[in-house]
Amino acid sequence: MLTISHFSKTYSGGKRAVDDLSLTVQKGEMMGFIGHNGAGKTTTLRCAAGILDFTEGEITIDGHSIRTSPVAAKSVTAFLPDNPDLYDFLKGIDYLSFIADIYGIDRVTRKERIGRYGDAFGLTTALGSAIGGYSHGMKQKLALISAFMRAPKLLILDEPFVGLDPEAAYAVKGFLRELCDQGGAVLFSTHVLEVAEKLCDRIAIIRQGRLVECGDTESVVGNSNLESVFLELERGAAGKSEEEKDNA
Amino acid sequence: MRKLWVLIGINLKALLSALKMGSGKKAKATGMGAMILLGVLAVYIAGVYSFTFAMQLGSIGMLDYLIPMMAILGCLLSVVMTVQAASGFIFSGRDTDLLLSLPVSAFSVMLARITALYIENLAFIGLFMLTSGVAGAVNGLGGLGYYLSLFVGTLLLTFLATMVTMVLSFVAAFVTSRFPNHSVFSTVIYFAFLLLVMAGSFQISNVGGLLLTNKEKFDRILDGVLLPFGLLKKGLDGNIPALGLLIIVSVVPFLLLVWLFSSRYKQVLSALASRIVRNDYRLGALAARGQFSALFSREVKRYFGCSIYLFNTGFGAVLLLAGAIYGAVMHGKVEPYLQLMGGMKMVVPIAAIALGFIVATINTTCVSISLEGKTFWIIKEAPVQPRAFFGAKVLLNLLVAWPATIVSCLILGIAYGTAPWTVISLTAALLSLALLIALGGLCINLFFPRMDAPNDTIVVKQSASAFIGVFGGWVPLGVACLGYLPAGKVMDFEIYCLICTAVMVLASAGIWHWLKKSGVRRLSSI
Repeated sequence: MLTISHFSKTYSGGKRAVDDLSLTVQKGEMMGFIGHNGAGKTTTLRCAAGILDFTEGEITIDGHSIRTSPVAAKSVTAFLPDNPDLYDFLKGIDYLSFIADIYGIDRVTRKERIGRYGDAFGLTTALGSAIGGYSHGMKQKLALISAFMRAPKLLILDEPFVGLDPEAAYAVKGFLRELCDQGGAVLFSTHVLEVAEKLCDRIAIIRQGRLVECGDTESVVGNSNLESVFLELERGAAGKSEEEKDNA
Repeated sequence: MRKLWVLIGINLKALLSALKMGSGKKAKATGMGAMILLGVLAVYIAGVYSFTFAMQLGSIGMLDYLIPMMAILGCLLSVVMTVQAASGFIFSGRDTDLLLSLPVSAFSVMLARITALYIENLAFIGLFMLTSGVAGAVNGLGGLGYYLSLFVGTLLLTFLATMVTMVLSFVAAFVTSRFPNHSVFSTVIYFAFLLLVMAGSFQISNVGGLLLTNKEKFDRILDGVLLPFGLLKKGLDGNIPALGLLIIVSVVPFLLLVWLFSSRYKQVLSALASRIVRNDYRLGALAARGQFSALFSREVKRYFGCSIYLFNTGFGAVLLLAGAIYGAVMHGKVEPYLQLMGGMKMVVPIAAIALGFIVATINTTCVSISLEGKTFWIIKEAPVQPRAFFGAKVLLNLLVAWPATIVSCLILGIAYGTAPWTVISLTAALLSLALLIALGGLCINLFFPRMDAPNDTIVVKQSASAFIGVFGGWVPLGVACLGYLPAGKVMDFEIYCLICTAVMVLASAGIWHWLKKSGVRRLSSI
């Protein structure tokens, strides 16, 4: 569903945020994207969603290049940023209707889906109010509803559990699994390693813009746990860089 | 005291950073460019008015009134230019939470913000008064007392301008915080304020006549309502105690106001930040529409949901309609003057320039991409064709500009009995100008986007794109005016209007073509 091949991203100041990264997310698969702050997770996710442009490598979604056929690629994708800024001047329901119009969701389907996800997140009764009055968590829930409502083939989420209450976080996990069971694919970044370990079929670990580990959760974790594996990889990479410095 | 200086430094940086765009050298260059533009504007306005007034007042032996008059004008302009930005800066600053959580008093935070505002005002009024001082000196004013009073007066009267700015922005923020629909109420307040300013500026142009016919009455105003300016005049005449009194009437109220407002600062901020979320919505039948219709509806809702956007880009439309109605009502009184000016043949081109000048200010597109701000990810991740995105923005601009243009041309045409052919050709030229400006504005915003502004006020009032959009809109009008000088001798005004229409439509088509090709690439790089 998602193929990232030899993808690199260099910002205008010359900083190379991602370096020759390749990974795939198959249909029905949920992949956790893990890395320290500034490792290149958000840059990768934003490029995959078509928000940032890039010049090196290729990203395809359902066979469509995000660079050369962005509209086709985006029409089967939903993206949720780490801090979703929404239109404060719209009411919650107007925002969802706007997204539904953009994705061509018919009247009956949109009502059914908004009702379902709105009730699950406990937000339906607040949809008549302006988004400007929403708390951070409410905005996060609204953005999640707008993402699930599209029934996307690929869902890309950047830190989806931040700011959610336990009930909503539980609901999100259920909906993510349901999407994968229906043939969709999910790629999400998180710092909550326990969640990634329990939820994901595959794990990708990124460090300083490079993919350092990628595989089935079971094979990555082995007999240990994800937290230990992640910290070991970090320490190992840090030691390696020290060694390289000394040799230089 | 050290904390206060640190706070002032931070606030001044925040104010000046509003003029910058991008990062590094680009930020420095754009910041400097915007400041130079503001400086040139201050010198230009002061130069035009002060030399004109100096000639008029000199001829009736009242040159000593020049500096007080220019001081009134400078303060008024400074207030007009900063009041909306001040409201955003003082009450919507993103760093307010951080600053108020520091171990400093609300008084210090408020004083630091206002002092930064004072320094910004001082830069404008300083240049304005310097130019006026030169005009006075060229026409015979001078001496140590003159220059000393000019210097001290500029420093002190800036307190006055800052105080008025503070009061207006505070009242607007305080009152609007009491209403659930902040934006509508603040739009009404700003429109009322601008009408007041316009009425005031009419009075300023009448000052020459008032001085000539009733000097005593003007002196009484200077000793009453406009006391600080009266004290400045006395200082310029060599009355040093008057300057001392000016210090008291400007600095003391300034500090008192800062104290008074700081005591209500948190209250206003709390009210503005209060969330009104109702929990009584019941999901009913939902309507569906097409993608373009949804994008356009979003543009309209943003336009009417953001008072600063509506006020700054929509005032031209209001002015067009108000001017046309005023012109129609005053038809009987204006008619004799029109005959003196050479009849409709001479008046119509002048009216066309005036109408075109106003139409050129209706430019919503030059800031509309910047206003996407941090919500831009929604459009960028959506399967939206860039031409639909551009089209919705252009259509909003035309929706604001075109109806007002058509209606005002019709009203004036009917009131003054203008030939239908003249009305049609002029209307066509103005509509094509509006189209060119709408498309051009989008290009400007693609070249100068400001996506990280802390609030909408900075995008609409202080971004490079807003400056270029407003001034750039007058360029095609200026070219058309210059072209008419030779063309008017060989062809009718109506034919010239149609040629202009054709040229502007062709230019618009060219810009649209550019938007669909290079504009898309620029959009994706934002």
